[in-house]
Amino acid sequence: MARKITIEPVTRVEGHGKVTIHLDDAGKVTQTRFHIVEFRGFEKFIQGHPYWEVPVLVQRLCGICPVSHHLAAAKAMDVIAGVGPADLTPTAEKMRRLMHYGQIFQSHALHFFHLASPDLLFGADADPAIRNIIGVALKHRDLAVKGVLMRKFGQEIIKATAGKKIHGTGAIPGGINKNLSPEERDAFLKAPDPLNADTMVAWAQFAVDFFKDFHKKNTALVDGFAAFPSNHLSLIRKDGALDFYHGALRAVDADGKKVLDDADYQDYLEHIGEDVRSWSYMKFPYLRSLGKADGWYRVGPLARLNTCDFIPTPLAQKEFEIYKAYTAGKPNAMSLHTHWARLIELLHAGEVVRDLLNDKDLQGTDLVRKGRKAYEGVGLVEAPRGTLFHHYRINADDQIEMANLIVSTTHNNEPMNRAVNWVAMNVLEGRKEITEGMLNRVEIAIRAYDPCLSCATHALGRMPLSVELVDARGGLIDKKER
Amino acid sequence: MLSELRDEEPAAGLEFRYQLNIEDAYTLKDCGAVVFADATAEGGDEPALVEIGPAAGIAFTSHEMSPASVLALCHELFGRAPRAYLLAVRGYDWEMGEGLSERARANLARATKVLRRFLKERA
Repeated sequence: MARKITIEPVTRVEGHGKVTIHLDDAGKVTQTRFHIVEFRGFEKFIQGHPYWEVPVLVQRLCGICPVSHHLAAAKAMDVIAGVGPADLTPTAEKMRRLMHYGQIFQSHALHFFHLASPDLLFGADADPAIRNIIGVALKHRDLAVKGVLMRKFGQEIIKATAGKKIHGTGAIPGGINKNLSPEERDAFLKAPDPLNADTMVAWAQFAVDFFKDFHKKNTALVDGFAAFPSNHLSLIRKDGALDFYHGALRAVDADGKKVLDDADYQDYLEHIGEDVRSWSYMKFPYLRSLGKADGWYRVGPLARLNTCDFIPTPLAQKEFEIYKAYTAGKPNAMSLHTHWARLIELLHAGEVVRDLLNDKDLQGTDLVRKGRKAYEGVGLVEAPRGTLFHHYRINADDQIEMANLIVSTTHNNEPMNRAVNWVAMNVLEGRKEITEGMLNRVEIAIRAYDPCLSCATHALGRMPLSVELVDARGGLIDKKER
Repeated sequence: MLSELRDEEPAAGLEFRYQLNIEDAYTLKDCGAVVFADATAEGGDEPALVEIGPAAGIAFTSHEMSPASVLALCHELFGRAPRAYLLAVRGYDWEMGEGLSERARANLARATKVLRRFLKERA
């Protein structure tokens, strides 16, 4: 009998979505969709507000990555305030970087230890009751303690730079509103173990080694699960280095050929289009040069390590070389390798945080610059989950007239749909019985992209995800919710 | 509530959270007792302290972590969890930018009294 599978909510992702899988009478997959079923319209809410309020207002989109929205908006408002990226004072730029890399550190740690590690430690078919951070704490206490304290360390960095752990106010148009005092600095550099910068770097290295060991023992799973070729997009520093805070746009295709390079993100509309589909509130971005059908791409850790030439810190660079050698330098298309890439970025973020804390520019007092006002600005950062675009236009009264946000999860919309399709075709198709473990594999595929559906839809409130199994006549056969 | 009580009870650790998360297990590990105060869309107008314990159930997303889950994580990671209470403050109007309704404001004042009494008894 034809069936439809629904997973709602998809668990251990940030937000609310729904997966539907349509099967025909022979049990063949006929259609798979990863739906986003909420809409909030944040771009409309901020219209009419003065532009300098935006970096504080817009970060309310999310409680997990507010710093990304705060900084992307601040960078756009720098442009409107007439202050280019090169015009920021060293103290302002480095404080923002410290805030951002602290956020990357806490977010990547949270994702890996809280959301992803239960699948790796217990397996996709394990009892869902233990497949969570408390299960990790019960069976692997040392690992769970590391995860909790790495998250805490990153949150404390954010508090020291932004004023609050969530929804801070540090970045303002043209600069920053505080520096880092010697006392604040020493609290991170000289704190007793384990909450100091050196231990955090050591623990990040431990996390990378943990994954490499898991990979060695589970090569077929990690390499084969939801692997499919794609284009990849990210910001890149001018010299080709990995950079989460600033750079130009680069995209590579599945063979590693640069299809976009050194592109000024102020002109992103020339390079990026946004397709819409009737069944989802989330848009489908694409590279204009490749067209709607072929121009979709991945963003995030996997994409960033595919687009960059090197990582500018020694420990992460060493791991990057091992990682790149595994695919002989070619772009990595294996979804579960996103975890590997994320942990190398975790290590890099830890190294950058430690190095910045030792930079005396953070105690500088020249915090803000002013320039000639513009009426339009674009700000980009590499958020934990991928490239984040903020675009604003103001009127003569300094009020926001237009806002367009393209968040990381939106960029990854098509890849996540492809990942769901892969699981449907390779795990569910032709099976007489759909088990919880099979449905969890759908979630594992989505979870690798660390989607934040609250960011993507700008939705608020309870955000579950469901999986529905539907027959050929549209009848609901089975539905799983968490 | 916090700004009102901070000056009165400087020894109590009064902290605001946008949302609970895993690192709060670390915050709680040395506490003698903890009160989780939050708004609720259900229940009556009279706030009361309700004792809660660790529970292993966990939400699907790190955007949502219950007090019972934080207590469970604290217990598993650090070998103990403090006595814990929930202080739910009934609200009525959840539209954007409207501020507190009159009934919610009255409930908040009642809840502040309850928490003040609790802190004084434990001081």
